[in-house]
Amino acid sequence: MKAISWSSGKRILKLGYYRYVSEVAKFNKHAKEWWSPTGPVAPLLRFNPARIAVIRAAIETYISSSKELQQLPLQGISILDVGCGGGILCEPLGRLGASVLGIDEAQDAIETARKHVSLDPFLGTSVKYRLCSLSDLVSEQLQFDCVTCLEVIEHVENPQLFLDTLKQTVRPQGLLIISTINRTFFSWLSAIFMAENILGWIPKGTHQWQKLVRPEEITWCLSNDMKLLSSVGFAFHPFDNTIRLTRNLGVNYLMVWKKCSGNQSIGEPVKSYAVHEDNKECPKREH
Amino acid sequence: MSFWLRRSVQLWHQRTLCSALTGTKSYDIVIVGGGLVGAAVCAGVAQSGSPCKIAIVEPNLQKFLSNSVEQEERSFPLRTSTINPASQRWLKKLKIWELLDSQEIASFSRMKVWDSRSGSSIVFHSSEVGLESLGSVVANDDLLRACYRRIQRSAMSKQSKIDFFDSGVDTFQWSSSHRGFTEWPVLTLKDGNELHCRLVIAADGSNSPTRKSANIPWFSHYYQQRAIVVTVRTEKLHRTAWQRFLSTGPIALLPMAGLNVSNVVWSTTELEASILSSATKEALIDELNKAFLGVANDTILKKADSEEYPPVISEILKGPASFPLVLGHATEYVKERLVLVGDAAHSVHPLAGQGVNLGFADARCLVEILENARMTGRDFGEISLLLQYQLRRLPKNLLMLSSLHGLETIFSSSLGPVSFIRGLGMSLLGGFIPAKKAIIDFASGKIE
Repeated sequence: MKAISWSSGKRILKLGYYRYVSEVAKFNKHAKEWWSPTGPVAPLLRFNPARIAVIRAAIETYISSSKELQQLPLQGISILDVGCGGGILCEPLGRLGASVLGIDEAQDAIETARKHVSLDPFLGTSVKYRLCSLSDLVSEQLQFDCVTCLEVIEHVENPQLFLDTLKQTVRPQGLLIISTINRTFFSWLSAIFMAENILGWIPKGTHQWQKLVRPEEITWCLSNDMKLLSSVGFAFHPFDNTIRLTRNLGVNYLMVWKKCSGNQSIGEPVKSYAVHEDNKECPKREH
Repeated sequence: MSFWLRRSVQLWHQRTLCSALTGTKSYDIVIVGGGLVGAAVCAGVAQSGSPCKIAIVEPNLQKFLSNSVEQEERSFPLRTSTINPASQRWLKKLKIWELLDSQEIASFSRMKVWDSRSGSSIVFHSSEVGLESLGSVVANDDLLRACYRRIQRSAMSKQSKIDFFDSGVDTFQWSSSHRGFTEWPVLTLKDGNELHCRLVIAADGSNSPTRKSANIPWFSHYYQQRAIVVTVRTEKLHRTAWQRFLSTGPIALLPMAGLNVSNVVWSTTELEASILSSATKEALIDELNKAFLGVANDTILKKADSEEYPPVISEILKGPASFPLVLGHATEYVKERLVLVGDAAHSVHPLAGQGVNLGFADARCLVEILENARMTGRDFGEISLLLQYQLRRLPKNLLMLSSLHGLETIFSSSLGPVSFIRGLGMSLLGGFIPAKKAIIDFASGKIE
């Protein structure tokens, strides 16, 4: 990991000044297409299995629980998915046994998500959706074992404020999993120029390169009271149409953060979703 | 009062035990057709220990589930399968193979194929390619019983919940897919049960009602031929699979478990098939011996050298029975929440005993894909997931299907030049080990 550069940190502060496009409206427009294997969200659906594998592995590795008694790998884990959209991440996590809450500010997306989850009688009550903002949950003082925030941070107005709020929804020793697109030349070339303009996989204007976030910038915002456990990149292989994990964080990447115990920023006692009691030290970062 | 209470508790227990209770039930997977391939898929999914709810719908289930212990003293089986090394490896992995009695398996290490007209022949030997055997002949009933015993054991020890429905499917209710929203299909069984599931696995044979109900097109070619199967006793013990191409079609003699017991599969014209089916046992024995050992003027060649020619058939133990020969293939293997496996997706000429092996290869591939999907919590019915199965299996099945069809065409031709080239080709192949090795690898499923 590179040293945190202050300039990149300052850059985040500046991001709020960028022209604000109504991102929520943008996502409402495609809300009905969330599950369509040929629609504008199809690339996300393709990324899904790889990302869920990483999330599952992270939870299994860093949030320990007695495995013998469980039927499902993520049983007893509470997960908050911020910016859940049509619930494409929530449903698989629910199937793995976690109790998942998906929140989004786009009403149509939440409706799509609720409709889709109702097709699966086995998911029952393990996956729930709420139309609300992150700050609503903070004001309700809800905390989760694991908070996932995938492909969201590049769409928010003020990433630093967003990350600060996000931190507060993670229980002490809980995980925060963030995935986004790096701000590099290659990400512009592949995720914007190729995917939007040439191949037409995702609608034009989905991403603005200036608003993309670098891993260092996330580190700059989170490293005060969280510890980076691992980060991994995703690479799309055009020849066999698969997604593979890589060490290169140049385009799509995912970071796993663990909240260190004794969080001063919250101060007051919190109502917690968490069911686990482990006061172990944060494990050392693995290379 | 207490009697009433006890009685109602008793009834409640019966209610939960009895799977044939009417009402809608939800499953992850419903397997329609519990033949060899359907049962293998079920055993495979259950083996992985996934907490899946599976249902098998099969009208003859009671027969398959019954334990072999107090079976009517073993009559000789008629329908057999030649399990190639790849399928055998998979069945071993699923711990099905170990449930077969060693007396129920007859493996052969040598195969001789020869042409009645050109007289040329080709011999394959497992040692040439470093395999233990070229294949094993197992009675379908025995293998099926082993599959169900494995399923029952996994149902007891593992987390999978498996329900058996001793019935057929009456109606299928598929809902159309719209932007990735596909409602679960509903299967109404003949006994009144309604099954609601994520994924339907159709393993109900080449006439698959499931495939028809889902409107998946099927192209087929009828060979105008029937295959006759007979279980026979030979004069001598042999451990070779014999196949001779006659002008009317191929005839094969496969060693079976038991004292000098063998299975004959004879593909021939419809007319000859009907004559043979109604012939007396003596006449049939005569015809069979002629078919294997006869030369042009109908004299039977009795060679002492059993390495060169098959042993003489002395007794009919079971049969004959016959079935029509059809080549068929579905234009697609998957639809939203539906996947075709085995003969429901493809039916091939029995000349190389590949049908069930293709089915097992399908089953293995599907089980692997479902297992991967389960690891990441994917919905089993997702079309993008099922397409992986089609992408992996369809080209291979088509290749095998067309190779077998090609072989059949070449060997059934009576044109002089074709016959000449056929003879030449066989002689050349017979002396060229790498080519033989390639053929065996292909037939034994080694090429993945």
